[in-house]
Amino acid sequence: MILNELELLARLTDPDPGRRVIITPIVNPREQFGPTSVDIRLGTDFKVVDVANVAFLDPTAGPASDQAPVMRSYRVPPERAFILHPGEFALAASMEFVRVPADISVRVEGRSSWGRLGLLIHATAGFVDPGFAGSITFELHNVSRVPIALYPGVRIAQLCFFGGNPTRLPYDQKTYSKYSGKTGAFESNYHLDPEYEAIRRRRSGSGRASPARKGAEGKPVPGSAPPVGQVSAPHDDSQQQ
Amino acid sequence: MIAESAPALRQKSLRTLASLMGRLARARRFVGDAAPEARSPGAAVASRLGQRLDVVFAEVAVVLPHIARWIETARDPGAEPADQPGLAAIDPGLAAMSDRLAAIERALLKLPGQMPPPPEAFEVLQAVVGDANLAPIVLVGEDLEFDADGFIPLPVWLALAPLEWPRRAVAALALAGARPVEAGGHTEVPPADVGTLDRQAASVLGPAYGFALVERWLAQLGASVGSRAATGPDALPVQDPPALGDRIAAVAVELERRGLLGGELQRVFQDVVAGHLPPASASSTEVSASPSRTAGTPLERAYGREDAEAAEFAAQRLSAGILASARPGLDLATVRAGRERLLAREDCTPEDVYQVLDGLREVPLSAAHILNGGWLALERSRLTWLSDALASPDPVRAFGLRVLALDALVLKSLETAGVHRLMEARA
Repeated sequence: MILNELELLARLTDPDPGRRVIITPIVNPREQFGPTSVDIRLGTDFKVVDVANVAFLDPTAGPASDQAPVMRSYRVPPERAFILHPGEFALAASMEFVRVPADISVRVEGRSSWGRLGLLIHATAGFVDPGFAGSITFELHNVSRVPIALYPGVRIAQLCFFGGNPTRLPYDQKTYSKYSGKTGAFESNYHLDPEYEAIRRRRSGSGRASPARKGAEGKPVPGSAPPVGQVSAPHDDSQQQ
Repeated sequence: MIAESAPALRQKSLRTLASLMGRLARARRFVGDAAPEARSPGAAVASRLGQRLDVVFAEVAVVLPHIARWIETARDPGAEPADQPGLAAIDPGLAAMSDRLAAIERALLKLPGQMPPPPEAFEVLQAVVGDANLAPIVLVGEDLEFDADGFIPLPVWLALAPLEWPRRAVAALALAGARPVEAGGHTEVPPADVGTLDRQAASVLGPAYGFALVERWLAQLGASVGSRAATGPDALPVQDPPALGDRIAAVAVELERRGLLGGELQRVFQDVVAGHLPPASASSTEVSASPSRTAGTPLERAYGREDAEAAEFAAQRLSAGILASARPGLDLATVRAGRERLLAREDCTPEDVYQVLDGLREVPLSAAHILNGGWLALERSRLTWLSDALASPDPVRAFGLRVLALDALVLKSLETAGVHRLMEARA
């Protein structure tokens, strides 16, 4: 059942900390609260794929510490804009910190004002599990034909809260939860998914070259497996925040 | 916007920490053996931590010129390097804080005998801290040789974070006190000015400044317990401004109230106070006798009741892993009561609903509140973290990651509060 504004108010002020929803900071409730949603704002940190460092994405190897980072981080001070160009993709963090109890899940949705300009705020992962705590990560994509200026502090998305029975598997206690407690725009940890381990083992057993093997200038050696380790995918398996 | 490579930076820091694992193992053996001068493992830990902090202060003092230059650049848009746009747009609240710290550091740069920074030991990576464009970043070079008995690698982690700022101020003032006299007998920074700078730092940083001073005193105790003389140009000045003792005493009582100074560690701390609190504490007694200084808890006396409450709120949130950029304008019970009254009515209008929802509006915390909340959280957790870390298979990493997580949360809180203030100004 989706929570209306007064039901959400009750959960935001619940005397039991274990049942309380936390959204902080709440800057202006009149602007942010709707009948069944709360608007959230854009934070100050962004990440974009540094395509010059990426051959292609392969999850069978994780980021290697001796290689250049693939995602570039940008901090945008207040009053300045991050420009998202047509066709560009960027990760961003919400200004708000959100904590969800075990009996509530959340959908992250765009706002129509931005949708009409061609800005998508998530690629595929718009679901927040019960038990999640941290900033909401946006997967920004400009599908219009003009650049869009994005300012920290603007309302860019809305959260819809759904009540239900408490889960016994809250997100922060999942075996493979990867993003709990994060407060910035964190890149994908997709290479940590356990299914890739079998592929890595099989490759290793078959005697294939290490995927990270490189030439003197850091370029892939012909015939070797792709330079995958440093790659950070700009999308996630699900929002799972 | 500032392009940065925070992941690479952190990875570099982690590698540095990993390289210190061996030293930590030696330190563990040392603690296990318990130096004969130390009266318990707890005292040994405190002394070793103190020695480590002494090294930290020496390093930080050397880096001060870099910090001052960064602050000058950040405050002057015309001097903004082309490859570092955005420095001029730091949050006004933080800029004000940096301004006052810069005044302290500028004065220190005039001190005679100031050692030039060894470029091979320190590397100024970029003019931002980790993920934020809020403060200088100084990373200890990986090849820097630490003390052979190095214990906790605080330099690497805390130099990256705003939690380090109070330590910088303490080191700066200590440096000023230690080197006030020129060969000709004149001082470029007279003791009176040092006292002024000290009071400015205390007003900017609040009790966190006191906590940093306590750390420094523990460091001096460590030097004496470990049969090491207080070394370096940053040794604590003997003649502290009178207000200093008052603040330290307040912090001591506050730490005791929080159970952070129990048992052996409390005796260690008492030794520090007894050995180092200058006679000028008589002046602090005089100050404390005024009615306005006797009300409230020690933390409130040192910082002001509202400030203390705000810092305490921030500390509770940060300790729970929650962003601490703002606090509720109304207490939750009041907002709940408003909702109940609304539900009991049949003629409720949208404006009535908005009036109740308005109770959820939060007020941004100041940078000093957040910083002090971070220090309170750190002081409460440090010993537990140290204990947990020593039981971990990778203790340095375990301890470092927890400090890093708290620092990241403090950074995000500072940054978010800045945006929040901007939104409030618009309203």
